[in-house]
Amino acid sequence: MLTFASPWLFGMAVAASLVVAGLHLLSVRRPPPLMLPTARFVPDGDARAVARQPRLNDVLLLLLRMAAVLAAGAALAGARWQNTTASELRLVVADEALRADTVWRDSVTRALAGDDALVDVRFTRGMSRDVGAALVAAIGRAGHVTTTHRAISRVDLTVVLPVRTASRAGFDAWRSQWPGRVRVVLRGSPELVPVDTTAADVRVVGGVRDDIVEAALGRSLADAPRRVLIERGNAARAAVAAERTVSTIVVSWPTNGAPDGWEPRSVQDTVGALVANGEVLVGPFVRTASPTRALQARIDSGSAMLAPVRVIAWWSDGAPAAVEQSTAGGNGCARSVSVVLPAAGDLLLSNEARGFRRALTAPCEAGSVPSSVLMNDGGRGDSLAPATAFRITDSRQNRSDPWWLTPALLALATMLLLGEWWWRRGEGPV
Amino acid sequence: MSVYGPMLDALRGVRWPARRAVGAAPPGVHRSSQKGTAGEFTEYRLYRQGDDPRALDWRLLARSDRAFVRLSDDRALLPTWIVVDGSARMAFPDATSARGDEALSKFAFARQVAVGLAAVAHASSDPVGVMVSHAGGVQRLPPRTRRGTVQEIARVLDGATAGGTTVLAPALVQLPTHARIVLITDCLGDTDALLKAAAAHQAAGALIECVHVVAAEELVPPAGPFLVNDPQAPNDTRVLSRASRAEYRVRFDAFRRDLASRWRATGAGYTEVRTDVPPARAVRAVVMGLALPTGDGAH
Repeated sequence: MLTFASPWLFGMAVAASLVVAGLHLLSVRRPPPLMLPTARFVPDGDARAVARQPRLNDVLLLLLRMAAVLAAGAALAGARWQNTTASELRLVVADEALRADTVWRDSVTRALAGDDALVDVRFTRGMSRDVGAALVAAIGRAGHVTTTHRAISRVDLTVVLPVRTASRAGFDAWRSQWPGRVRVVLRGSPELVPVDTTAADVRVVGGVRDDIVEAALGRSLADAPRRVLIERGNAARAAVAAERTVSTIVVSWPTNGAPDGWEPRSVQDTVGALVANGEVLVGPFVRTASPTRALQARIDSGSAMLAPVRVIAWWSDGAPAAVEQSTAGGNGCARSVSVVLPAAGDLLLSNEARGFRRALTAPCEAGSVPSSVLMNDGGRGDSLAPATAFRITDSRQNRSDPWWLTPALLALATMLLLGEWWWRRGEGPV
Repeated sequence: MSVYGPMLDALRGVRWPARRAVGAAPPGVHRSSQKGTAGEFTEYRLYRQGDDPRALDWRLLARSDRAFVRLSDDRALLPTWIVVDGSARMAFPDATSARGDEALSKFAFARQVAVGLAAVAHASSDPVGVMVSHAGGVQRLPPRTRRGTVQEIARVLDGATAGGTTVLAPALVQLPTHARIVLITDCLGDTDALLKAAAAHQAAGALIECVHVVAAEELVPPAGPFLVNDPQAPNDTRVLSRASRAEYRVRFDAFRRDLASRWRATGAGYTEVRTDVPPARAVRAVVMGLALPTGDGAH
């Protein structure tokens, strides 16, 4: 199927060819001369009146000219030859964890395939952290596909989510950028975990004297449903190990240095704020450590890992400041915090630190959002997104596809014009 | 002569009697207005002094005692002049016209008819001459009866080329009145002057025959719009279109009807011949005074 990067240019070529046809119809040409001895009996009249009659003369010449104009117009309009005539793109965006599942991928492709549809399955990272990553990936992919395949007029988006995701803030933010329906599909059965909002028994082990962490978080509740142990140094590991149970949440937050899985930064920098649970804690933080490559990879893998790692606190520039890792048994979790608090001050006791405190003492996966809540995305009805919303129309997109189509069409137009000249070379002056 | 051979073969045995009695002339085959003493009896007349006594009918004188002279119609020769119009208009259709080289131009057709008429007249022992007015001027060959006259006439005609703006009336005036004058023309030139001169010659005793040559392409011009020009009036350009074609044919038909009536009103013979009929048939029509079928060719 032939499409154009700039259809209006081809439309102008069509209009020009119609003008050529009109000029042919209205052309004033002298009839051929004829010597007739009895010409005196021909009634007098305007010699041009005959030629003004709308008569389609020189059809072949007209076709040559129209073809030349159309070929040149198609070349300038950036003609593109598409092997597909599909008018609908069925885009499936799934978590990276599904990439290896070729059976699932093939079954999805077969199920969505249709005569008038192009199926595209994409995988993206970070969906376990925020579903917005799926929409970002979908918008990017839709832009590429709809720009490449001009025949596509609408896009049907299906997002395959993990059961739980860390946040839906990104989804809510990017949802307005998707101008149509978003079908949300959960992978596997959703497990609804009741949210534990009760207070926890928090013990800080190995801290220094007057440790601000102990002052801010330490709370001894014998009948609390969960127990949180915060180890503030390597020396406390033995004590922590002694008190640790299966359901105990261990928070590794060394006073100095980097917790396990983190590495000291070669150049320390200052970060102005810490974000956790939607609350921002502004303070004179110094970032001393960063996640190791392995930990960062596990963070990026999200739910694909057997023991997924999720970020529970971010620096203001988006880098992780504290992470949570599910334990192998699945009943508990371990947290590591790479936040060096100022030596003095009650920053952690402030009201703005409430989100950070809650992130450290909350039940495992407490900050995650069940993906089922996205099943009804509150979107824009049942309409599919129009392809024009994604199509890229910058100057580079005016290239033809394949690249040789434009020079070939220009060569064809030139040949047709030469043919037109050759055709007319025998004609006398009009 | 090879061009004319088939036609002359087709005209073998054809005679061309004069349409009316001819005047005093050497003895020939045509009925003369003069009375003589030939063997074929016509009437008696009382003997008058000076009559040849050999013309007396002695038996009648013996029975009735009256002297009568036996009279009979005289037979006379009729010199025949064949005048061929060689104007530019006669060079139609040419090789570039719609019918191409298959068409016989009016001048070529006129040459064939002229040779055919000359052969028929010569076969009647009449002296035959020709006068052709063409691009090279006026050529004439006085009437002769000797053998080879027809060939000479053919050579004269073959050497002529149609062209120019020739007029026939002045040439006609110079011809003798005691002759048969055959005008082979398309009647598109000096028609009025020619009719006037022909009427005068007719009154003076000449036998005028007008052979009006009409090209089939003139009757049915080629289809499609054309810018038409008269070869002798190139500045007068007109458009022959589908709309004007019908009007053209109406006008041309009216012209031909009017022309025929005017020629016949002068007492001259008039025969319209088309270039798409065999020349021998045209010659027979002229000789016998028959009318050939005319029209637009659809008949």
